[in-house]
Amino acid sequence: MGRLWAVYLRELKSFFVSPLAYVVIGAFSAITGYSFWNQIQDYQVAMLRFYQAQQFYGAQAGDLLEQLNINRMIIQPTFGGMGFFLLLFAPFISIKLIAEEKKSKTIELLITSPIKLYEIILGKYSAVLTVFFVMLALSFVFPFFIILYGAPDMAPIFSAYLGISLLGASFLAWGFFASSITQSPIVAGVISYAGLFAFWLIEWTGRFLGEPWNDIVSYLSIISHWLNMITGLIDTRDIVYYVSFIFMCLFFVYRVLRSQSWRT
Amino acid sequence: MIQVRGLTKYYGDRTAVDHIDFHVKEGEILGFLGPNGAGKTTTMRMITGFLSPDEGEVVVCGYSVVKNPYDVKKNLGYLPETPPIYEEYLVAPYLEHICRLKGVPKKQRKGAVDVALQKTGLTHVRNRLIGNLSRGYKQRVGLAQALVHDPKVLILDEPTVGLDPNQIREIRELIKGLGGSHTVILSTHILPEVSVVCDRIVIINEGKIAAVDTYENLSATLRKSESIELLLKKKDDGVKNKIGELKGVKSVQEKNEYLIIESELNTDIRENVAKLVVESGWGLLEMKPIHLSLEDVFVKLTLEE
Repeated sequence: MGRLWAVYLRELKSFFVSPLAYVVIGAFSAITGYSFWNQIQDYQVAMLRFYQAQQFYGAQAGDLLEQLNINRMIIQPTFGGMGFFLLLFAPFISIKLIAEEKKSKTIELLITSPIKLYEIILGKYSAVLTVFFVMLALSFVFPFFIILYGAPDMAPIFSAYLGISLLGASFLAWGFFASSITQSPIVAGVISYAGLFAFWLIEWTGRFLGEPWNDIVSYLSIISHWLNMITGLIDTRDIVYYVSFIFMCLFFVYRVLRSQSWRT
Repeated sequence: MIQVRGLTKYYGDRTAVDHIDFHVKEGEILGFLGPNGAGKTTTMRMITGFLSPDEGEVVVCGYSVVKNPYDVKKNLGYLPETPPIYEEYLVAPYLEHICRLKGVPKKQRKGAVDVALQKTGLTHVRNRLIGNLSRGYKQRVGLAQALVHDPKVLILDEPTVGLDPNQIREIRELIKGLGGSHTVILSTHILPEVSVVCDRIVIINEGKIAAVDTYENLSATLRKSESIELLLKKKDDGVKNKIGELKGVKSVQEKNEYLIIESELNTDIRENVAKLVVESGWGLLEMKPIHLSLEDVFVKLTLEE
């Protein structure tokens, strides 16, 4: 446990002594913040139109108010955008995990220390998760403002956070795997993006396939499960999907590190 | 303490290390000598458990590297070819991190770091950023990293690379001092280093062991005859002939100012030569035996069939 902690601390330190963590967290927050602001503007315009309509049609316009649900108009699109931005930013923090240790040869120190491989993997993975959760915690300002000025449903906000946490953790696990198979962070980055986009886009393929392939392919898509969660739907199948995806990636990392001692 | 039996590693078609056997006794310093690409680093990596052997086994402190890597690694300090340093760390916190990785109990960490800093002469740079240190200092940080947890066995891959002559002498003294209480394997290109520091030498070439012995024995075995060097005031063919007639002398050759007299193995002709020179009044200026240098031993073993 002490050794896992040592790996965790050193990894976390490497993020925060370099500009990397600040730049990624800063850029992600700025972009998601900008997207949130746009949703608010949209919502204001929609509200204005509603009041105008109310003056003409009176009570009949009440049905329209149903459409102007704050959860659907602001929270869902904000989280939707956040998931996509996460796909763009997550590889930046995960691709260095092993590739950099290989490049600087410090991997020799790790492997020849009395530490189990799973301790190295969990230590490093927990460190990137910590960076990710710091990044995500900054987005709490969005629901905070909505609660301050409106009355949203709280449950979908929680489920959206659960969804985005699992989605981000999966992206990072995949990046971790990409990082373990090369010593070049750039190559790891390309593998990371290619894999994540493939898992994202596979959803389209699911739409035009017949039974039973459409269900299977849709289930494999990394995005479909998360779309359920931002609408407030928590299904165990979705959680199982992400947990097994993460487990699979970490297991691959384990196998890669094990097998590498048989090569150079 | 360390037993290497039939150790083999293939890289594709190439056999990097080819069924090598040797052992290291407790407290001994073993020098690992060989030309570039001979398989030194590969062998060391297999002893430390970084690489898995394709055949054969390594036993360190009674544990097999393949079956019980964890127990082996606990007793091991390793300085790889490239020092495994994190440039963003200060020197002392880096060593504390190593202590944590190696499982040194919390209470002993500070003491262990201080001792390692002092041994490697890093105390005055303990609060400097490793990335800003010179190459020699980084090398010393690498060495401090290998011994901070006071391991029983130390594997040092070219520990004096990049150091200036004074530092080299200090580090050699340090390694010499480690012998007795630690078992050390050290690889190097620098020949005098091995003869100064090591108790025994393994010479490895093209993945095979060319010789394992003490330096004295190695040079004795490879010598096919004894030679002495003689500098005289008077020098002509008569002198050469007369010396050549002495008992046991095989040949007399002229090299620069000197006469090189070769005699049969295990005979000492110096007394007779001196007597002859003095009696004939040739004026003896200098006489000394020629030892086979380690360089000669190395060249003979790695170049000759």
